[in-house]
Amino acid sequence: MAFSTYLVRRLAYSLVILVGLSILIFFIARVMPGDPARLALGPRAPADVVQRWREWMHLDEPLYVQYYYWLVDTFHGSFGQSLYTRRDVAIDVKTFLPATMELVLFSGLIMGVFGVLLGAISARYHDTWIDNVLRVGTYVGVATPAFVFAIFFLLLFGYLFKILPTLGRLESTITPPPVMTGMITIDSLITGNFVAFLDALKHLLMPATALALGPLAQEIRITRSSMTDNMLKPYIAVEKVQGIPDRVINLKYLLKPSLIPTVSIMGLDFAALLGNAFLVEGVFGWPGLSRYGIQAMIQKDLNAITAVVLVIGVIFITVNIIVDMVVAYLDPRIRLRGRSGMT
Amino acid sequence: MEENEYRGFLARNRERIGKGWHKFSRNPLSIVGLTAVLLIIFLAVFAPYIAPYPKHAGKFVDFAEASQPPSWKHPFGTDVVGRDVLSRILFGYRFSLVMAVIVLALVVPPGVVLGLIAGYLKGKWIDTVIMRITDIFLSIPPLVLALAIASVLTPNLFNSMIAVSLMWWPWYCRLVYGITSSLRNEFFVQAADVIGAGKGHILLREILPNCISPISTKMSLDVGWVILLGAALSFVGLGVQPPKPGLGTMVSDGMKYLPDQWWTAVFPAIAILIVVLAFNLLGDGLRDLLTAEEV
Repeated sequence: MAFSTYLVRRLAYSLVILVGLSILIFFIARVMPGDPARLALGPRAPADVVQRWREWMHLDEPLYVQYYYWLVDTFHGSFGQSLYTRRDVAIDVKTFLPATMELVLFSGLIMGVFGVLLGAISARYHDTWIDNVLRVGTYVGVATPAFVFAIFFLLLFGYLFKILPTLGRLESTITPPPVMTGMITIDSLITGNFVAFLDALKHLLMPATALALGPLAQEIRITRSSMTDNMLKPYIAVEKVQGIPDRVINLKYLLKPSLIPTVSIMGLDFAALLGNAFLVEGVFGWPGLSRYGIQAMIQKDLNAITAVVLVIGVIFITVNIIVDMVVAYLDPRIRLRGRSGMT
Repeated sequence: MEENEYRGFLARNRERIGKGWHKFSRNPLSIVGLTAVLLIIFLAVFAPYIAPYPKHAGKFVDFAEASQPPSWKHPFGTDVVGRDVLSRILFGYRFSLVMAVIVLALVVPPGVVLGLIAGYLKGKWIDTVIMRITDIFLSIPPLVLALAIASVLTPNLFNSMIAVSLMWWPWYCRLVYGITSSLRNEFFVQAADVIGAGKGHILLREILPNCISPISTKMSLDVGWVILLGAALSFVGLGVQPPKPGLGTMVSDGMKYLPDQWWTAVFPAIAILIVVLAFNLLGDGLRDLLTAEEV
């Protein structure tokens, strides 16, 4: 099987999963006890209005018909109206998504870079005090919920030392850059607005780190264990005997194959980032999709809940495809599967 | 080695447990984890007798004592309505542990049964159906799915358990599926099939015993994660409802009064960290103990 076939299959399968996910979300939303029409219109709406709304929402039809209408709407890019803000949910998603993407991508960056770096250091100096400190750190890091990190950071750096801002994405005194990607750091870089860039980065630092630390600890552990395993492999010994410099061995022959488990687990770690964003955004008043989602959940705003969950699902599936691609690049056994001369 | 063969099943079993315990007890982190878990369970079970102010776990108001910083009278301070934070944490542990036990009890049996069926009938349509359904459940971050399910139900402890259970079973299904689909080609399974053993016998008496050790390892590691997830749900108001003390609820309530009344948020937060850490350390140690069998 050539790599392109592998890719096409992977994409096709993701589409199937996505349809399944949409069914799951739809049924979760419809399982809710109580009458969605009554919930949308409030307890004081007259009965005939509720009935008209019910017909308009196709709530009297069988579930699979309802699912069909919902699917058609969704494919047209409309998630229906928010029962709470009375706006189109698609508009809300477009407004709030970039902030969440900025946050999650930045903490993904922290997670990937420091996970590999500290994991490699831990493996290089294994069983020394550096390694021990890092290992105890990973135990605590894995066990601490992101929202607990968030509160500790808020208290320490926001209130006690007062070195980082506690709320929002940008100081109100700074004019925000024009909206292009919606991610303030990138928009301000494109327009060369370094004042805004630095300020946005400052705002981003605490929530992104709080979000990243748990998965980061996971990455350090995996990288360390896979590197220490590979260190003992005969091929490394052979390379040492051949006189290849340690630098080359470490970077080219040891680090690269050791990254396969690290990158594979990143898919799951990204799930932790996306999920915990729902808790951390609220702590820092980060105006993202996750905070919007939590508000929707608390107000039982069905259309908004389904839209947010579906969007998060699409992001997660996309990330997993990318992760698989990177793993395939790193692992020739996957990349070259079925080529002539290889078994 | 040969002597081993004649010593009988029980003796060998005892030796195995002895070896495992030796390995477990040599790791100080496992011992710390075990001690902490036992202590937390003790504190939670006897909370009504140990807590300095058991009444403060429910609806209780004492404005004269409100918002007191930590002192000898209230080691972790009091919240805005004058309730002792330490007492509430001890009762919060009760909810956390109950949640972990019930979620695992709800999740493991269906997950294991579906995994057994799908693994043994690998390649049949039922395998495809079951495993594709787990794929769908795993195609979304677990916390997001749990939040979505919890949000459409009435928020309370029981429904948050349902939400967590619904997203958790695929992991057990996957685990058992992997083991079963590789064991079905082993000689002892095929031999049982040849002499006419029924599917139920093969699945429950031949294959299931081989899954017990990985399942228990996963369960011991999962206790901490379930508690963490329960705290996360109650943090956003979809778990234990006030005035009952959920650990996550206490953190989110206390957060409103940062930084002045830091103790109302910080101590429950540390309490969550400690219980999850304790169960993780214990789980890691148990994993070593159970995998020591093969050594």
